[in-house]
Amino acid sequence: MAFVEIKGLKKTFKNLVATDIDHLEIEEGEFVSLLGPSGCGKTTTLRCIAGSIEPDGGSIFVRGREITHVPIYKRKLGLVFQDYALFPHMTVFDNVAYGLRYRDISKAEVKKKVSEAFELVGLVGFEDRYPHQLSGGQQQRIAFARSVVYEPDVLLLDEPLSNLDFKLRKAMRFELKRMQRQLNITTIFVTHDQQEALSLSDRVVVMNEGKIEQIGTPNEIYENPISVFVADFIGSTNIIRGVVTHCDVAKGIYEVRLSSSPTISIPFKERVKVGEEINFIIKPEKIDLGRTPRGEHAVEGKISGASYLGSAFNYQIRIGELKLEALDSQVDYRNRYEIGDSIFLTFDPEGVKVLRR
Amino acid sequence: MDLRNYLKKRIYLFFLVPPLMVLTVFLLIPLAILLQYSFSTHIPGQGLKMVFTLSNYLRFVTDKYYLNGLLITLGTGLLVVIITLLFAYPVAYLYSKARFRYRGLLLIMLLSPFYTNVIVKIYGWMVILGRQGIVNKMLINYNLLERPFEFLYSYIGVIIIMVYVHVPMMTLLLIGPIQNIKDSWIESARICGARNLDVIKNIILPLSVPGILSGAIIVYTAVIAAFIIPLLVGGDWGKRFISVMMYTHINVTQNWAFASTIAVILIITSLSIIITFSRLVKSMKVGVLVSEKFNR
Amino acid sequence: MASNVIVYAFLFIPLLIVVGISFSPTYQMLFPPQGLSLRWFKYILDQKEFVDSFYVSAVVAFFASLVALVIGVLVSLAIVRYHFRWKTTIENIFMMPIILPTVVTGVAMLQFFSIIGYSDFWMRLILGHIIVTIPYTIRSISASLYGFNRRLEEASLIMGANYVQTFKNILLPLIKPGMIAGALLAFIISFDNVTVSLFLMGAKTVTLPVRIMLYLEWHIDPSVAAISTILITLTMITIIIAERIVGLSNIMRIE
Repeated sequence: MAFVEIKGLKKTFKNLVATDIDHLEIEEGEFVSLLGPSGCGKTTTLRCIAGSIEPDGGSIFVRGREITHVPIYKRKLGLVFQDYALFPHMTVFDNVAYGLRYRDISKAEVKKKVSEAFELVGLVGFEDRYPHQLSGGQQQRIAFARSVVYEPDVLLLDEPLSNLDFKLRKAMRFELKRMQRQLNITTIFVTHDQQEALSLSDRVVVMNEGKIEQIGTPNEIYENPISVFVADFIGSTNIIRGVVTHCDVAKGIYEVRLSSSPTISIPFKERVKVGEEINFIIKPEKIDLGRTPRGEHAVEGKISGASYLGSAFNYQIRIGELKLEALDSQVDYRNRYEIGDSIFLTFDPEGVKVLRR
Repeated sequence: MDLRNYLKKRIYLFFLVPPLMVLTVFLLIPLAILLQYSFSTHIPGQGLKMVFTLSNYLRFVTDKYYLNGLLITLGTGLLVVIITLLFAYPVAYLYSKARFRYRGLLLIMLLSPFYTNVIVKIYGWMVILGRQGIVNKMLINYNLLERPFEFLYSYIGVIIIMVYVHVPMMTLLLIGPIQNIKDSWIESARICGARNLDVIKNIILPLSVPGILSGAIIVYTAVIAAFIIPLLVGGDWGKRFISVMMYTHINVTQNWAFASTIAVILIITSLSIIITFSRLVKSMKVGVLVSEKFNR
Repeated sequence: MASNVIVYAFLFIPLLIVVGISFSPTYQMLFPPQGLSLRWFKYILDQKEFVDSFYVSAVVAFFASLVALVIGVLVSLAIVRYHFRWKTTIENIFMMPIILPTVVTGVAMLQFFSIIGYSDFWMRLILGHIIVTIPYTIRSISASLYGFNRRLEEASLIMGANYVQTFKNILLPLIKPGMIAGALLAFIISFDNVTVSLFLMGAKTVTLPVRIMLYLEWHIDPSVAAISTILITLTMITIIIAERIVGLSNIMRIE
């Protein structure tokens, strides 16, 4: 059995299905993110694991032991909240030591472990301060310290970085990863920020409306989304619907008639049937642009929007009624494309993926 | 397992049962007894006879003496509330808009009446308004009066002291609602060209109305239930106050039945006023709350 | 605003006069006093009745506010944290002592005690004062409780503390302001209460305000002023201590 196993977890609030997970396995030492928009069930799932919410059905196993009905305080888990929830009436030292009070540990041992925790998060010397005397980032690190000091089986994090400002958030990401690696602690991380999920996780669980849409490594999720939802949620992706009208199998070229615009030819590597209605995606960075057609299957379009990002140009292109986004990192400012320009798009066949859902 | 869950969800019952028991035994049951008594008859010399009769109520509503007493009580309440409002509103306003440094001092001064109890306050006013008191002495000195005027045991005395007692509470009740009138609204009115008087008339006052009403309701119910003040310094007027009439029937005539009836009538009156005006305030508050939402 | 000055003066002056008179050297109540003397303070301390009544008021207030505090915590926990069908009704029931005219409460309780023949006057007073002060403790504590972040409890539980330990170590310390403010308010209200005490007391358990009232029926002299000055000072000290511990704005629940 995997280190953490969730089977058939169900929770419904009034008429809304909050969580409905058939099966989820997490290995020891893994960093797994639950990723999705608000209301997708990620926080509910996390809180079921923590024990704050009683599920309507299903079971949760940690280290082979079923914890579904075990009271919160007997589960030996760690939880870091979005708003840190440090105890305001205790010093930071006492905050961190709190979890050790209820286990049979001598005072000297407590002091030792707490010091180690402070070292881990880089806040040695702050022990006697009160939470309100610390900055947001420091509070966050204390929250982390107190959740790991008693060596829980699993560390749960509920959008812990959402309250930090942008720069701090990026810095804390590295810190978080470092600390997790150092402790080698199994971690479940809830977030709606896909950049965070992709940069931190060993695996990502994309959730929508209570159900799991896709589980995979960050690379898999990004490169091979299996549904429209995942494709749409992760990064900017162009999603195109159409009906296949023609196949040229030898060259691997399909012609797709799009729902509301002219037929275009797109090269893709997967098999589809003529007549099939499909969604396919192509990432903006995989579209090549040129003033003249390059390659056989260039498609003509018009620039309808242009944003200068410094390191790249973000273009919006119209082909009939279809709008596509392209990212051009060959920045030649003086030769940039302007709104109204005619442009030829070439699709990299490796970058075109068909979605089955 | 299920029993434990069931209990867990119902744990609030454990919290509530003991206090509820205390309250029921010592308040609710006595009130029920009171209600029952109000329907009983009193036999002079013998005490209470447990029959069900409406004679007490009839007596109350048909006897001009009692009806007038009710009227006096209610009317005085209104008068006191209005005067109290006039005193309390400016103070509440200043406190709300005062800058932080002075607030502590203001608050302590405002709370000063809490340092003292009713009797002490009455005593203070006795000294001021009594026949040998300061005011009379001054008035005689300046030849405005020939003989000392009996301020104390007159209607004026009652009004003054009631206002005195209730201004602090009214002020505290007004501070909250006034603080909800955002400075930015006033500023934008000024920017649009409104002069001070206009600002007061069109912005501050209308927005204060719900707060004023809720404060007024609370103070009003307190005033009509007033007992000590009319008893001690009301003189003849005081005797006409409902609470005092009730006390008289207990103390003097031992007519517990009728006293209970008066009590019930007082309760009903208070409750109806509270409920009616609370509803009124609620319907008015909608407007203010909406704008509050905009500011969050 | 000038009106403020007038009102503050209106509120303050009677108190000033009372305090001034308490130092008066003669029977006359002149303000400003014609000299400074502590004779009236000595006088009241010699009066057994005043001293006894002070003791009665203090004891009753102490026990009443204590019980009201406990009840306040229990009821607040139930009201703030749980939702159930009759919640609003229950809330209103507990607020009744404030809504009801105090006289009515006094009369009703008196009748009740007479019927069941309960003649322990100490308990009658304490019970009466408990009833009267309950709404205040509930209000104060629930205000504190509403502002309490429940995630702190979750954090405590997840770190291994059970519900009782969490209550003791996390919840209780953090609603202390509400509890202290509530208890103090209850104490002051109980101490100052006249109406209910008037109805429920016995010959040997006359509370201080009532004693003063009775005294005033026959004498008007500066002794009452002296008592008042003592009471005023004591209340002021209490409020200042409360402010130090808890913050005045917390007590009055305004900014």
